[in-house]
Amino acid sequence: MTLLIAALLASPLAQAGSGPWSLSPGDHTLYLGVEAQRFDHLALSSGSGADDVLQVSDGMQTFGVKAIASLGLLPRLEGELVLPWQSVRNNRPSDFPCDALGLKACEPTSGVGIIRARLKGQWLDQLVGAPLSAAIGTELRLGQLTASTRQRLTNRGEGTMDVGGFASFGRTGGLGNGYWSAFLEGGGRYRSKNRSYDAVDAPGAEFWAEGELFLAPSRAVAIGPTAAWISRPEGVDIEEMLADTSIVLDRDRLSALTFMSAQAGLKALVRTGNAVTTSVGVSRTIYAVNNPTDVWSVDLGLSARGFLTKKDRQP
Amino acid sequence: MSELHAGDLIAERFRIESLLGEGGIARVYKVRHTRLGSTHALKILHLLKPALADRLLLEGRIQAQLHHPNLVRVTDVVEHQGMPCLVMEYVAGTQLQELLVEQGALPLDVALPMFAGILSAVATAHDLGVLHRDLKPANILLTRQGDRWLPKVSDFGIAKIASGGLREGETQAGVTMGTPGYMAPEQIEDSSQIDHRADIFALGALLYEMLSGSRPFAQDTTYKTLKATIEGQLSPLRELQPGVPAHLAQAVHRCLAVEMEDRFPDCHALADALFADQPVLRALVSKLEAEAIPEGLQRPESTRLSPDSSAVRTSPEPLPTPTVEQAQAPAPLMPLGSGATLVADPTDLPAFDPAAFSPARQTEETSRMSIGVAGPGAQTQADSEVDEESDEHEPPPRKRGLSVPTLAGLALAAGLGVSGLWWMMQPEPAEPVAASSALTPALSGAVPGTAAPNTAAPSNGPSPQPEPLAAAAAAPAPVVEEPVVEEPVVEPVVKEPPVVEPVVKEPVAAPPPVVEQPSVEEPTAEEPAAEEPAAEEPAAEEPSAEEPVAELEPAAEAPPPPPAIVGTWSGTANNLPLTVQITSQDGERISGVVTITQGASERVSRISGSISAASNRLSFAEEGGSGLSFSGVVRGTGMMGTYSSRGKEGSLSWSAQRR
Repeated sequence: MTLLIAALLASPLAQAGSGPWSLSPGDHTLYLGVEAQRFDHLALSSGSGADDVLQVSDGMQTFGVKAIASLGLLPRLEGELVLPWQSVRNNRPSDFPCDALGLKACEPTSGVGIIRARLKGQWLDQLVGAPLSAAIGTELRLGQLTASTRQRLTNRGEGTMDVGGFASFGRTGGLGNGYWSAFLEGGGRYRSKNRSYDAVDAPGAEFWAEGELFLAPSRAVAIGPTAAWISRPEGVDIEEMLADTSIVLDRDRLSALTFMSAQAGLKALVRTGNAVTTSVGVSRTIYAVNNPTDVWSVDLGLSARGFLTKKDRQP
Repeated sequence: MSELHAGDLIAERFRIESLLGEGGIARVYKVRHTRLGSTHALKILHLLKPALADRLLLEGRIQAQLHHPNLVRVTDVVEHQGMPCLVMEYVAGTQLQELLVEQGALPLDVALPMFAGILSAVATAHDLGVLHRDLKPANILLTRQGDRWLPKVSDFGIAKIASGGLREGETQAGVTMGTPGYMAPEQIEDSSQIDHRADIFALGALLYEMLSGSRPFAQDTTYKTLKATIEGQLSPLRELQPGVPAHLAQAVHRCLAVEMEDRFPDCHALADALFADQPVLRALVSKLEAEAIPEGLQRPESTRLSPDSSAVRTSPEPLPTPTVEQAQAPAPLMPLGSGATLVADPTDLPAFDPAAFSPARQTEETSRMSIGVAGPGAQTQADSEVDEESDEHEPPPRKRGLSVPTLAGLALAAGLGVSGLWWMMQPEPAEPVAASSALTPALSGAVPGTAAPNTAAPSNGPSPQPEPLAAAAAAPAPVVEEPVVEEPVVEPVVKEPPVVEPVVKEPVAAPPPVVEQPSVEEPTAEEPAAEEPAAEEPAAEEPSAEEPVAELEPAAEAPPPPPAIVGTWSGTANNLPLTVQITSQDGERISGVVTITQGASERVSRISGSISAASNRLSFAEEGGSGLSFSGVVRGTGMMGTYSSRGKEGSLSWSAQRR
C-alpha cells in the first residue's frame, strides 16, 4: 500500500548503511532481516487521532524480509544494495471501504518491493579530528516490480523509478567503558511521474529524515531511541481524491496523495564476536497526515561483516 | 496541441465559432462549414498522445456506424496538426442533467417517451456490439423540437466493441471507467469484465433519476456512493414517487440489481417491461432500432435480438407487432406538461434557437463525474460536452508546496553542511602529545631493553649458573644510553647497574670478565665459564680492572628480539572504541586488523607494520591508500601512541590494553 509503504519507509532502517560512517575499502557487510507491520486506522485529513479517521476493515498487515549488502569501494566511499520482499494483506478484502474503492483495492499482494541502490561518500571523519562525521550520498530506487498492483491499498510501491540524494551527520563519544553515538540523516528524492492531475504530479517528490541515538555500556551492547519522518508535500488529500472520480477510479490514485508520517521507536544492537551483530527494533507512528495513524513496526536482523575474507577474523 | 480560437480554420473548411466544452482529453468546438454553412461540433484532442488519438479515431468509426435519431452522429474525420478530429452533429440545446436540476422529477408523460428514445439508441448500439459504459444524464443531450425534447445520446468515446474486440490491451484490464452512481457493481470492481448489462444498470439509474429527481445511490462522499452501489442500498422508487406504476418501479429496480444475472438480459426485455401498457412506445423502440441498422450489416450473433425473440421477457405475452402505419407515423415527443402521448418524427432536424433556452447550471458534483479511460499516461476526464455558459469549474486538485517544517529541516541540513565544509577547510591543529610524560608511570617495573615476561625469545643454551653479584661492585657497569629518538614518547634507555639488577637469569661473568658476543645458539658447554654469554643482561658482566669498558659496547651485543604482541588489544582512538588485532608477527614485521567503532557500524581495516626490537617502537598503517597510520610503543600489557590520516598534518592519541 502506498500509505503503508510510506510507513515502511519511515521506519528506521536496521543496521547496514545507517549514519555517516563508511566501510573501509574491501570491507563488506550483509544484513538479513525480517519485519512486520500492522495498522487499523487511516487518517483522512490530518493529525494523530484526528476526527476524520477511517477504520480500515479489520486492519492491514505486512510481513517482509530484507537483504542489505554493503561494500567499501574506496576510502570513505561505500556502496549499498537493498533487496526487499514483502507480503501485504487485508483480513477482509471485501469489506468497506475496500469494495467501495474498487480496483481490487484490498486484495493481497506479495513479491519483491522497491529495490534500492546507494552510494555514500564520507567527507568528514571524527576519527581524524573532525568535530563530527558527515557523509553525502545518492540513491536510486527501482519500483517497477510493484507497478501492477499500485492501485491497491495493499500495494508494495507505486511502480516508479526514483532518484535522490541525502546527507548524514553523526558523532561518537566515550561513555565509561563503552560509547555513545548519534546520527541524523535526511534527504529527498525525485519520483518519476506516473501521470498528472492538472498541475499535480503523481507521485510528487518526497523528503525524509531519520535519526538514532545509541548508548552502549560496552562494545557488545547498544540501545537507544530512533525516529523517522517522511513527507510528500505535493498531491491531494484523501478527501479530495475520493471526491474526484477522475482520481479515485484511476490506477495511480494513491500516487496522487500528499501525506506525511512520523514514527518513533527503540532499537537494540548486540555484537556477538567480531563480525556478527544482531539488531532488533520496534516503532510506532506518532503523527500522520493522509496515512495510517497506528502503524506498529517490528524488525529483527542479523548483520555479518567480512564473511568473504576469513583471514580477517580473530585468530 | 494549442488551443483554438474563434476564427481559426480547421482542415480548410471548418471555421471555429466557439468552445462548447472541455473534458479531460479533448475539447469540443462549435464550427461552421465554410462552404455549406452548416453547423457542426468538432472534437479535438488537446493532448498529443498517439494512444488517445487512436482511441478518438476509434470512437469516430464506432459512432459513424450508428445512425440513429437519438444518437449524436459523427459525420466526418479531419486532421489538425497531425491529430484526428471528429466532426459531429451539432446539438443545440441542453443536457438532461440540467433539466433534472432545474425541474427535478419529470412527469411520466415526459420521462417515458424521452427514455424510449434513449433506450432505442442504446439498444441499437448493443445490437452492433457497442457498449457505452458511461450512460448518465450529462451524456444525454436534449434538443428542442418545437415544444418537444429530442434526446440524443453522446460520448461513446469510451465504448468497447464487445463482439469483435479491439487490439489486445486497447482497453486494459484494471482500468475503471464510469461515473459513481451510474456504474454497475461489476464495473466498479473491474471494468474490463463488464458487458451490456452494465449499460442496463446505468439505464435503470437514469430512469430512476428521471422519475424521482434523485440519484439512486447518491451519498455524501464518493466512496459511500460506491459502497451503496455495491450493496444495493437505495430507496424504493415508489417511496419517492408514489405515482409511478408498480410494473415500472419493478422494472427500474430490476435494472439496478447488484448481480448481473438478476437484471434484464437486454434492452428489448427492458423495453417490454417498461412499455407493457404503452404499445406505441414499445413499437417506437423497435422501429427506431430497425431503421438504425444499415441494410445488410451483419449483427453479431451474441447481440442479435428482436422484440419477438425467445429472450427473457417481462411481459406475460409477446407484444403485438406494430402496423406499418403505426411504425411510420410521426411520433412527436411528449410536450412538457401535456397528457398526450406523441412521438416526434425522429428524422426532423430541429430548427431551434439556442437563445430561447437558458440551461440550468451544472452542479459541481455532477460536473466531476465525467471520466474517461484511465490507464498509464492517459487522462481520466471524459470529453463531455459541457455547455459553454456554465461557469462552475471543478476546482483543480490542490497542489501543495513545501511546508514550513520541511523548509526548516532542509535549511538546517544545509547549514550543517556549510559549517562542516567551513571546518574542513580550516588547517588541522597539531595535537599536543603531552601524554608521553604520563606514560612513564605506567611503565614502571618494566626495564627497558629487557624482554617482556612473556617474550618468546628463544634461548637454546642451558641456564647459566647463578653467581653472586658482589663482584659487580668492583667496577660500575657502563651505562649505555641509546640516542634519544625524535618520537617524544620514546624515552632514552638507561641500563641499571648490575648491583641492582633483580633478573635471576642473567648470566654471571667469570672472574676474568670477557665481553662476549651474546649468542643464543652457542651452548655454554662449549665455552669456558668466562665466556658465558650475557644474553639478557650485558650489564651483568663484570669487567675486570684490566678490561676496558669498551668491551661492553652494544655493537658487540646481539639485539634483543622484539616483544611479541600477537593478540587482541582493546582501547580507544580519539575516544572511539578501538581494537587492534595483531594476527601475525615475523620478527619485526607485524600484520593484523584494526577495528574502530563508530555508531552502529565498525570501521575494520587490515594493517601492516613493524615493531622495533630495540626500542619496542610500534608503527602500523591501514592498507589501501589514504588510511590511518599509527605509531607508538609497547609497554608491557599496553600500547599507546599517536595516529594520523596519511598525508595530513597533526596526530591524535590512541591506546590499547592487551585483553
